[in-house]
Amino acid sequence: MNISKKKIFKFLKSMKFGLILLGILCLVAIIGSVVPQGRQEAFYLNTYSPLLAQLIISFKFNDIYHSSGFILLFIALSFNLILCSTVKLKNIIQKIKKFQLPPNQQQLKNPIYTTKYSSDAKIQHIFTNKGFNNINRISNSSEEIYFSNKNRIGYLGSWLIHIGILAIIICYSYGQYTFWSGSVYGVSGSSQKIEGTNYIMNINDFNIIYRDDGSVQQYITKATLKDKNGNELLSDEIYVNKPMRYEGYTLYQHSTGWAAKINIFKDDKSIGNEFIYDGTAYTNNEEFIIMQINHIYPDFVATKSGFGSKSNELNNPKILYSIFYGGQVVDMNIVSPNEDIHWQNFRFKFNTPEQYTYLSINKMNGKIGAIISSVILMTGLFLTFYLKPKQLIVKRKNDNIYVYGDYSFSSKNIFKSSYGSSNNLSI
Amino acid sequence: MFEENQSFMIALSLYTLATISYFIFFVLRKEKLSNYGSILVKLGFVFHTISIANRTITAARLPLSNQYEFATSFAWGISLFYLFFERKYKYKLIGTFATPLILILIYYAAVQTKSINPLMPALQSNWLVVHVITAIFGYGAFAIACAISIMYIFKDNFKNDSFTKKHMPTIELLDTMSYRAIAIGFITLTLVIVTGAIWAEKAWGRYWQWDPKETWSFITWVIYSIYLHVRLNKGWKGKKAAWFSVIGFASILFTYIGVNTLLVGLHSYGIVFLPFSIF
Repeated sequence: MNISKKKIFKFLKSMKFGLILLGILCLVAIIGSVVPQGRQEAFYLNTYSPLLAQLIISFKFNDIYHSSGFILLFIALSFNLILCSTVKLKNIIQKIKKFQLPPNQQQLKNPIYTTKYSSDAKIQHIFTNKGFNNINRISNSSEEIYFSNKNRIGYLGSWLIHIGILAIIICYSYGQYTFWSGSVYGVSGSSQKIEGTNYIMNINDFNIIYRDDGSVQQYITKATLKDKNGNELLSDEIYVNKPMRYEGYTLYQHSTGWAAKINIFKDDKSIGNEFIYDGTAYTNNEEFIIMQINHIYPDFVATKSGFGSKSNELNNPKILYSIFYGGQVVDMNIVSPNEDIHWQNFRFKFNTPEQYTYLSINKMNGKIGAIISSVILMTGLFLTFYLKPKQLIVKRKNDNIYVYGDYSFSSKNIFKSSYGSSNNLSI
Repeated sequence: MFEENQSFMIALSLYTLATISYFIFFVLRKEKLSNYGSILVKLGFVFHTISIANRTITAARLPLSNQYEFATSFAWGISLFYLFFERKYKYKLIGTFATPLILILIYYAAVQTKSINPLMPALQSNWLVVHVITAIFGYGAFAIACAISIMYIFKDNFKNDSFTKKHMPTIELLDTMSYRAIAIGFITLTLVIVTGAIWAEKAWGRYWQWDPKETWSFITWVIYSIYLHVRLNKGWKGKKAAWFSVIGFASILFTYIGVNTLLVGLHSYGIVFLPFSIF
């Protein structure tokens, strides 16, 4: 490797590069939080000045978290973390090995505490008082050296943090790359194939639990998941914060609304019936006719400002509908359930509206990996901050005891202040 | 004995008096007032705890679900950490810098609506409880780190002043205190993000959606991780580190107040978010 390549490699694995990337990531995230994400271009053109809107659209600030620049940033950060962790691991292993060795002459300089020797118990007390249990001893003709180490595992702290972050990025990226989502909805007793899968969902029951004050306590769907042959796979309740999980698919209680079954007659002969969901339509391509539900009002009230619903109870249900024929609106009105609607030789009749449940489904891989990575990250943080490797060295020479503090972390002496300020080690 | 509102107002008054006492102690150098300040904060903390306990009983849940509830809990978290640091390090002057932060939060809470509303379905999760409780402790620790860092900056500019020499910890100890508070805060902030992600996955189906609140928690986490990186690896200390701590806390405040009021997302209280939108 020539010098310039070495320099580039050194920079790519450096903390400096990692920090630069984190700084850029911060700036990008700030932009992403300020600029509304995922809207149509027209939104930005109407909301911002022409120049700002052009900037947002050109630099993809409107979908910043899916932009190639953002993905590249994460790839660079992952690369930096891989290199940094690999190099770090080698150093850590060396540190751990070195940590077990007896102290060298450099460490036996400048004692932080000196006292008179009276017994071996006194030396032991120095160690036990600071939480050191396994005391090693080496001796030569003129002196005896005692040393003990603890929290060796703490050396792994920062490495685990890096590994944890790297694993989270990989799991999240994998999850995003393989992400699949869909939906299924229906009223109680309905059944629907889940598009894109081999499963069928039966909505056995759907209930909304209200509190005394009228607020919603919970939305509960009782559902059965079946395979394509109709064999039951799983039957359970789904509610907010309690999704149904099967083979990597997760089904969430997402939303609810009103639907009404419509019966269509032509010349008093039934030509069809089906559920129409609020805002959707029944289409008959043979007859060129469309019946759309504009809105369902469960507790209808007409005011000066328009139509509304007093409550979510079915006290006075009304359906606002539109009929299209040949692409033109030919009728629009409000009706009650079971009221006949006549248009030419067609007759329509809505049944009493029912509430339907809407379940969103997704498959996001790497969730367990992300949880394990988070645990690794948390462990790393705990080790870094609260299990720092410590070493205590005591030298006995003639009738004197010399206490040397911690040499595990560069020149910082963790024990110095406690020895200097307290008398609890008066030995 | 004391209703929630009564005890809240008493706590607010006691914190206000404590801040005034500490301020007079600092400006006019009347040492006796530091003792009064300390007693007033302790009393304020007791009444504050009573207020939160009363609300917990009345609401039959922990008060952690709207702006008022989190603001008062956040202020309580700062008080708790302040009292812990005062007891551990025995420097009452920390109060001069910490109590204004308690006041900001408790006055912010005071202007929020205090009505107790039942939890919407998405908020009915044990993960929410863990998520918000850890946030209170983490934010409290960061607030104290910020107060100590401001002290550091002040002391750095008035090194030879006899009053600061006597009542402020050494510049090295201030630096260490701030670092320790940030270490606690950083671990809890990480836990806040992890528990929030688990909750989001259960409630909304995605554990990370770059919602503004998530994004700003991430930004805060990055700010403090840069601080810790350079400190642990490059021995970066002193004034620069102190300023970093202050910037980090500004980010915390924005994550909490700014995001909820200025930006729109799943956590926003500025706009009512209904997960069940088809009505």
